[in-house]
Amino acid sequence: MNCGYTRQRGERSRHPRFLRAALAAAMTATVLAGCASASTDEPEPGPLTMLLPAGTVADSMQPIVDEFSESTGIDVNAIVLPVNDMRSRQVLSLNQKSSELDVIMLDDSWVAEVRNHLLPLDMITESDLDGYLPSVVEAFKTDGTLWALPSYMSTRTIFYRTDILEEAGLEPPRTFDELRATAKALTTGPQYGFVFPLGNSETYVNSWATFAYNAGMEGLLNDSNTEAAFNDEGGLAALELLDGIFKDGSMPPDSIQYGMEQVATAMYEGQAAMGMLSTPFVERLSDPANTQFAGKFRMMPMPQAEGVTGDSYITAGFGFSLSKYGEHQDEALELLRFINEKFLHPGPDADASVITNPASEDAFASPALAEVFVDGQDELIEHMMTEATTRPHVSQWGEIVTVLGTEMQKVFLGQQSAKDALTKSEEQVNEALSKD
Amino acid sequence: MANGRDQQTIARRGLGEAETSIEAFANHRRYSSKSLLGHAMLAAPVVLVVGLLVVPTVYTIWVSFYSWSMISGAEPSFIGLGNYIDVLSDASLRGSVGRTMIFVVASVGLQFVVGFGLALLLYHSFGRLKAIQTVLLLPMMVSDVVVGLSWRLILQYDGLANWTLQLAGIPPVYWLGEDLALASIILVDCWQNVPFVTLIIYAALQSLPEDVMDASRVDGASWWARLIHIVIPMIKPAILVVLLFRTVFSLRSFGTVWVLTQGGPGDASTLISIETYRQAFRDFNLGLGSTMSVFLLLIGLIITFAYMRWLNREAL
Repeated sequence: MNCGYTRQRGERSRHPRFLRAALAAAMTATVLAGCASASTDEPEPGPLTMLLPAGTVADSMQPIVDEFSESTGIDVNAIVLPVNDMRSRQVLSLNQKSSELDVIMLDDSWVAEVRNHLLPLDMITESDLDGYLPSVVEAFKTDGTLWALPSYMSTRTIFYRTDILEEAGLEPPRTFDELRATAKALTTGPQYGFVFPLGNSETYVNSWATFAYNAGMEGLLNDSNTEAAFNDEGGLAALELLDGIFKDGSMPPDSIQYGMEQVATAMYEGQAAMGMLSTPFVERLSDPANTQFAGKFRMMPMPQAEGVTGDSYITAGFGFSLSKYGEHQDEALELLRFINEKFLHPGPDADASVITNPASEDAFASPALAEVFVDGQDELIEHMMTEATTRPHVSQWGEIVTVLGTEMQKVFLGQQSAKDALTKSEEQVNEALSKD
Repeated sequence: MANGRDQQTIARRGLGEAETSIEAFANHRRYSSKSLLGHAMLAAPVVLVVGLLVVPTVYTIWVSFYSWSMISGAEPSFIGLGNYIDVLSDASLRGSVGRTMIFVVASVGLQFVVGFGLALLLYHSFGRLKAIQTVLLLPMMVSDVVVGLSWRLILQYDGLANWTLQLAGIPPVYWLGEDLALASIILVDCWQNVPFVTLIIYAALQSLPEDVMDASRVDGASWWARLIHIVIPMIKPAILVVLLFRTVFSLRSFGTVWVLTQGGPGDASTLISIETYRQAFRDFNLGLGSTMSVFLLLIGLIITFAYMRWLNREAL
């Protein structure tokens, strides 16, 4: 009688049941372990972990971090990411209250977004900050509380080609009207008179705001940061100026998608006689490896609108802060102080990225600065940084930038007037601010 | 009283039934042990599907009912359909839905027409030339980012396309400008994905029974008549697969569009996927980003069901 065994008498199974089950379990465990294990190229974590934005900042910070590790014996795991990825990862990590990050590198506009997750730097005294320009310290303060120590701070202005203006017999423009006329006069064939980052981004808003301040705008928001204040004559004049230059054909048609890097590229390649860039670009514009026109670029003071006296600027940049959730806060503070010293008192061997982001008295007095900002530009950069104001510190800053960028782009696309763009932006910004 | 013979019969029947029962039991045991092994081997992919697909989808739908910003400092708060009302009432968000529909219809339609034509060409004329097949399939193998970067260099104002036009004395065109940005990304999407359509349709064409085709030729059917009345009906399942896949993938196009235009200029080429990314990962508005994702899911499901009904579900 067959009692249920499928095998014939004497036949052995080559794959005993338990072996098959074990194989299945092993495969399942392997797949699950593979999903669970993180596959990254990041180095083994040390006692301190921080994120750095890829590019010149990371390149210049790595030696500082290495020097800190050598002198203190405290290892630092500096993870380099593109700046937007760095911001995303920091926001996610801090919102999860993770102890992953010890030191937070943040743009001054991000302070209001993440300050609830940062340690107030109450232990930093006035003497620790003595020597910094007031504006760069204010950039990282909200309601009198310091959240980060400034590092890579800069402003933006118009760079121009000295050879092109000389050949045309023109001087650097001092007024809005002169700027528009000069840009038009210098637009010949493949060369445009002016290039500007019109792409829908924070770069555009900061650049437009610089013009707006020089047209008499009091501020982007009111003093209490509860209402928009940019819908005034200054904001309108700045937007109309940029739109006018664009509609004149004095800017490359695809400026509408330009960020700072594309503007720089246009300058490198000689496509534009003037362009708006942040001040650290002076080093890259002086490098023959980047452009055949190295040595022919100079900064100019910002032109003003009719009836406005005194040039104005906006300072912005990165600072270093401490995560509330880090497990090595003493060591992290030590790193912060070490970095702070490098920027407050940059030595003669300081990296070019540190030199081109001067924010302290010692930095402006550094002989290295005059080697980069030649022909009196060292005095100009000191003037610009001293006169600079800061951006508002509100958690809705990202939304404000998006609204302004979107509505103003419609002006350049001919979809609405400048006044309508500012009015609509004002309504949306006020609505966003009212949700706080 | 049963006689001996009957008793033997009864006994045999009983034994047979017993044997049947025992055999059934033994088969059940064999089936159970096999099914256990089968289930065990299925466990890993099921866990993966549930963990990586079902759970995130349900969580996304749940988050879409909350006002949740990671940078406002406020705790997430339940707002019901508030995010959905925001999407439907916001002109720019509505616009991204409309542009996505245009993109999908135009891109998939164009891909199907061109891909079908290429497949017919390969089938009738160049099927033996493997090199041509390989070249035609190359665009499909290039990553989205590389495609976007390459085409941006070609289509930018001072790029290769305008340089070529200027050689012919034609003024440069702003390919990535407001008027043509959407058309340009449709063109690039077609360039990259026509090979997929070609591949599937060509494989389906090769499975056509020769005798049927020969009979139709003998009967005097024209090429067009054969195509409409024989070829297309016979490869309908493949057509469904192609349209379904291309529609779903086009709906969620992101990489190429982001690299090419970032949804700009303005919002000229902003699709749902771009808007979702901006909301969730640039503005950290998880509630609104999740809502946009749910909209994308719903649109995909509606289109999928529409395809099923239109092209005859039995084709699958």
